[in-house]
Amino acid sequence: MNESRERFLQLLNERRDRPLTSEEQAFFEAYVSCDPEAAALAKADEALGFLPRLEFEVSESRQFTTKILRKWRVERARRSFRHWSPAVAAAMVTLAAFLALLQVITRSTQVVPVKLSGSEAVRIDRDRALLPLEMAEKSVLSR
Amino acid sequence: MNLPTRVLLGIGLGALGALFLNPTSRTLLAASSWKLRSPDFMARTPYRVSATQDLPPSSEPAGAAFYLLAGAIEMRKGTLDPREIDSLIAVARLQASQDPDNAFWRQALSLYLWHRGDRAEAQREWIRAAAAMRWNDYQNERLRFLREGLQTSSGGTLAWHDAVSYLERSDALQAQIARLGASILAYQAGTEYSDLEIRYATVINGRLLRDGARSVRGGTHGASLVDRAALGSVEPDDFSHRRLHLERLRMIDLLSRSGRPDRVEKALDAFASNDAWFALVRPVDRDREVDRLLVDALTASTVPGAFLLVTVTGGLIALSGWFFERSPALQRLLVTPVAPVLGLALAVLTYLWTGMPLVAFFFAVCLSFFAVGAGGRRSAAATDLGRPLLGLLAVLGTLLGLSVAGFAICASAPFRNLAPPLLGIDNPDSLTLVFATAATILAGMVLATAPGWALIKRYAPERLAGTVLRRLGIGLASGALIATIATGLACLVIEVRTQSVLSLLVLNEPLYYLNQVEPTE
Repeated sequence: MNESRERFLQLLNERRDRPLTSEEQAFFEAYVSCDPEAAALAKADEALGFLPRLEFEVSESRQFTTKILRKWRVERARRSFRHWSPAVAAAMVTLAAFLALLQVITRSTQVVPVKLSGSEAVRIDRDRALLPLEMAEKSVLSR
Repeated sequence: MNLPTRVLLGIGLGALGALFLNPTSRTLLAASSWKLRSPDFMARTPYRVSATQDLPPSSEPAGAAFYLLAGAIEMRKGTLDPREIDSLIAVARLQASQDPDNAFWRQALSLYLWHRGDRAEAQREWIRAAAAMRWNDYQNERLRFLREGLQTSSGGTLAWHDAVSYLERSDALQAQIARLGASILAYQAGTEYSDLEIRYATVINGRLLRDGARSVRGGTHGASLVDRAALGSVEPDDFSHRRLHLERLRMIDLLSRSGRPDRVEKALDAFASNDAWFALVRPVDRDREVDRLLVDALTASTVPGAFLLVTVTGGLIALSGWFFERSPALQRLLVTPVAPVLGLALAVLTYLWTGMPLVAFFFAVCLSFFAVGAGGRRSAAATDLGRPLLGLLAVLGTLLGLSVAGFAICASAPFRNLAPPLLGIDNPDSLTLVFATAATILAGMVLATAPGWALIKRYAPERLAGTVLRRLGIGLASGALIATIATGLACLVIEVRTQSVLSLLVLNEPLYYLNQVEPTE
């Protein structure tokens, strides 16, 4: 970097903080007129210099805090849902599977069909005496 | 909480939710959990066999039949007075005139007339009863009322309702009628009927009783009466099947000689059907099978709900521990002098409520333990409880869970109604008190572990108590949740099978066994 360019850059930086002397101003303008790159740089710097002077209107909505808090809560709920979503998914799948299983179990009852035809009477307790009085006595005692 | 734990928790809660959504499993869970202290229908209903002392006479058939049954029960106890016998005779006579086709009324009338000493009239009614076409003691109506009452109080249909109904069917009147038949057969003096006529009437009355009875035990009285009438004058000591066969043939021969072919046919049919009845309706393993069904019904309706109660208890313990860990205000309850004073107050309240000084004293000791502190306490929270304390908590938690489950089972309506006849437990309330006391003592021991361990490890006992309660509660709730789901599924399968069989047994037990017979080719 040559000496004159170095001085140009220094003046470019300093003119934001203080007014240049007439000599410095003359050097600055001469350099800008000779070098197109320096001219573009000086314009860009001027444009940046206008920014602090601009006035922005601040939005002072009453619901600003509420909105921010709501967004924060939504975000927190989303994070919480992401955290619990495996558990919720597992619960839903299990619920559906168990409901189907329970329905199968409770509907599996079958009434025993009547099968009277062809039945044959056979005493299976041949050696056991069937005495009414004794049986009646036993039954009375058992109650 | 890491990912696998969260997924397992979701599976557990999903399965529990399904058990709540299914109506049958929800009713199963209710009996020994949230309906634990609901009023017991069976304790209030006047339609129990054991609550017949002050039953008024009724003109309605089902009520009249129950009144006559109550009379038979009182007769067995020997507490019937002449005024009551007159009332029973009046009720039986009224019903016999209104419903002459039902042999039950005339047999009951004959029974009470015989009991009053009007033997000739009793014999006449016995002969007239044999002309009836059917036998109905209306016990199914009473049992239907009991089942409906139980279903309303439980919020659904369960096997234990049928089990209670099955056990509530009484054969007291059938037994008395069978004894009456034997007495009439033996009664010779002053009779206006021939021996053959009385034997024939007894055969027919026995058959009507056998076919009309809805229980095997009741029907056995009728079937035995048929054989007794066929045996005639043969002494019971001389009984054999060969003898019975010969006496039957002799009776048929006498009937055919008397010129009543219709009676021959009816008697032959009664004997043949009697053999079939004994063979088909009384399987050898019936009693064992019925007992198993009744125990299954009791188990299915109590165990899942009891574990659910343990789950909730564990959850509440964990929640209280969580609050104790985070709330310095609650922790202040466990420091001196608040803890000993609280223990004393709790002891007084426990004594006033239960009247048991030892349990009350135990509470005071457990909370006073918090007063014992060590110097130079650590300021850090107890994150690692250590193997010995965790092992002790596992043992105490298991015992506490079993005690709470035992309490829930014993305090439930199914246990209170089924345990006395089924398991021979006369006073279920005393067993409930035993389990409640055990649970209370174990809870006190859990509280005492915190200051004990804090003393050894130099932790602050009031802070350690919260951690101990939370860890124990989580363990208890997790274990009990798994047990609730596993037993809930298993008991639902048992419940469905048991209920389908028991409902048929209550409706008509002999017919159920007849239907079980496989046809032979």
